[in-house]
Amino acid sequence: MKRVAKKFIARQDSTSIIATVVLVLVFWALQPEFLSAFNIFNVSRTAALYAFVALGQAMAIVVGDMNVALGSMGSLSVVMLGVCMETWSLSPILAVAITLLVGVLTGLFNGIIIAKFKMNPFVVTLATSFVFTGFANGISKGQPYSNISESFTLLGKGKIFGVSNLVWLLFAVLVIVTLFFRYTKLGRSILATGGSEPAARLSGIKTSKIKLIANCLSGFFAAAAACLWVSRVGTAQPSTGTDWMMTSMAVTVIGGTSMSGGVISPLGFVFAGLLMALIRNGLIMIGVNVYYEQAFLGAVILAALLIDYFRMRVVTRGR
Amino acid sequence: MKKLVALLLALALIFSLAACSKPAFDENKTPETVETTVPEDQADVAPDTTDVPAEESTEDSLSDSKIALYGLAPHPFFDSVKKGVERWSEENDCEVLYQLGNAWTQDSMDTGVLALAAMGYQGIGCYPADASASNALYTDLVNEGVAVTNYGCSTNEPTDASICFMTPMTESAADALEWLINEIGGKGNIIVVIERVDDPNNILRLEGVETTLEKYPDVTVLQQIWGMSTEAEAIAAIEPVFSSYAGQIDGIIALGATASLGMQTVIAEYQKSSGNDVVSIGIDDDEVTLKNIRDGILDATYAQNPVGMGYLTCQVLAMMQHGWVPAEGVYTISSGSAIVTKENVDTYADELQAVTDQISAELYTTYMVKEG
Repeated sequence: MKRVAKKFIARQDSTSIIATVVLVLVFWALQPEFLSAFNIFNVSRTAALYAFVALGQAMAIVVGDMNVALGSMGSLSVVMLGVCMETWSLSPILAVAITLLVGVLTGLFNGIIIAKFKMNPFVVTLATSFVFTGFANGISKGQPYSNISESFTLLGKGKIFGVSNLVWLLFAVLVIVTLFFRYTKLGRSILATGGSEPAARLSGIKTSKIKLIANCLSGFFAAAAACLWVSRVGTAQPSTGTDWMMTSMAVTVIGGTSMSGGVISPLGFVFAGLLMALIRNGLIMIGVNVYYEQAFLGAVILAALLIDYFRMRVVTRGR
Repeated sequence: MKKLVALLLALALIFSLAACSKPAFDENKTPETVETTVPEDQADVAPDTTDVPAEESTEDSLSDSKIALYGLAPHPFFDSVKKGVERWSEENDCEVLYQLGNAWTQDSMDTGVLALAAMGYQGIGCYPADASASNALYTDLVNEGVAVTNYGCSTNEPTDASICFMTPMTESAADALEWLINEIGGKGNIIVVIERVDDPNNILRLEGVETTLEKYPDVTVLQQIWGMSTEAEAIAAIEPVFSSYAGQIDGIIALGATASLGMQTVIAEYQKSSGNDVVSIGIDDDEVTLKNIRDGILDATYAQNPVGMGYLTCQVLAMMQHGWVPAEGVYTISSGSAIVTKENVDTYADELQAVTDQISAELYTTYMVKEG
């Protein structure tokens, strides 16, 4: 039993799991309706969306970079989806394909500047965030696109066996991500590059190319999250993505993806996404003063990070 | 392999919680099915209303209503709405939750409103974050048996919101601009300041501005300023315009509350430093704006009736929990407005309250009908 507990605590994602379970119990004790089917459905759907957004950030962080432009890439992708469906009247499949391509291209743009010109990823993506936001606002003129195909919204609004379609999709994607990083050469090269770029280079990995690919993946997942958000609300709003930076960083880091790169935890995304969705939902349900809600949100995230710090100390001491 | 198993276990956790947990709403607790009993010692003196004509018993007690209102984020407009909620709550002896979010985003609104629904509120009044996206949220609510209304701003129709209390945006902006143009003598240079680009109300306000400008060819818009969501951003956006067009500006209109506050700060400094007078009209009637009108910094403000919107929204939601529904064809109800100047700054609130009280009475006679 002690060995199992030690093994569990040693996991990168154990903090998010523990924090999620504790919060669920606390909120449930204070507000019994917290665990109603309706509330769980809503929270899990929101958590799935957060996890998809976080995947975009994780693809950059795992290789040692950072993507400050994630939200604006999402915004531009949303606008492209709206243009494809409403202005060009394309089918949902074609519209999504074009949108994902746009996401990849935005990631490629970032990746070329970061990888080829060896520039700081934070500064580069900060600058490109303004570029992408400008394009999104310029194309859309601030107006949402409402003529979204109803069949497309079934994914975001529908459910199977009482569980949101987005949750099912998330699990399918996370299985693929797990297999990708565990069993494919590209996946392991990404982890190696993030773990130690000099060592990866010395072992023959083309780290510039790997970073380029990682940034493309980041853009791909930003676009995917954008498509899913549009599917959820049935409208393509250019303001989508304004809060993705904070959400994606919180979910990624709390979920166990190392900020220095080289480690990713798909299970951590599930629980960290749940944690972020639970916090906001639960704080409202227990009647926290809204003026202090952000303070509570930050405090809970800080607590999770502190727990992780002490967890690492325990693990290190145990060695 | 272990991680895959862990993923599957997490899936099972969510599935079991979603499929097996109790529903959010216990139908036996809806107001319509609550059984009331007369205590034995009062049974003989309980009033018999069977012979009372129907029209005398239309106004039921609404104190057992379970309603909530949601505001997007801390903002002077929602502070005023809350006053209306508190007034209705006190008059009807009914606790109403006024929940504020922390961001003008659909995601934040979805989280907040769905949490209210999960808590069992059966009527929720909302200021929509997005005219289209909010409809998806409303459909979810109505499917769960929660009635929803709009205040302050409408969603695109068709909508599942039952009623909308708002100031007609296009007409209000047109009225405000007409006032400004008349004050500057029907000709001259003006600045138009619009707030958030993604607020559906602002698009409608802009339409009102453009329609009015067509009637006054001698009025020139020197610049339209867009895209601010805080007072600091508004100041940063308006200041350079005053610098660029110093001495040329005859009038300025701000079509958003924070834009209006930012404009007032800039005007105060500009008029002090340049000595030039600029006719100005803002929007909403927060305390700072009213003080600036009294002090002569701001010439006028277009006051919506957010207090009335809060009051009337509570009224409608409570009535809907007692068998009332909107009459056919009724959706948008104008909640009243006023142009506030130094002359009526101390009396306009009473005028707007009279409008609110009139609409409240008309809910029973004109806007709503009793089902069954």
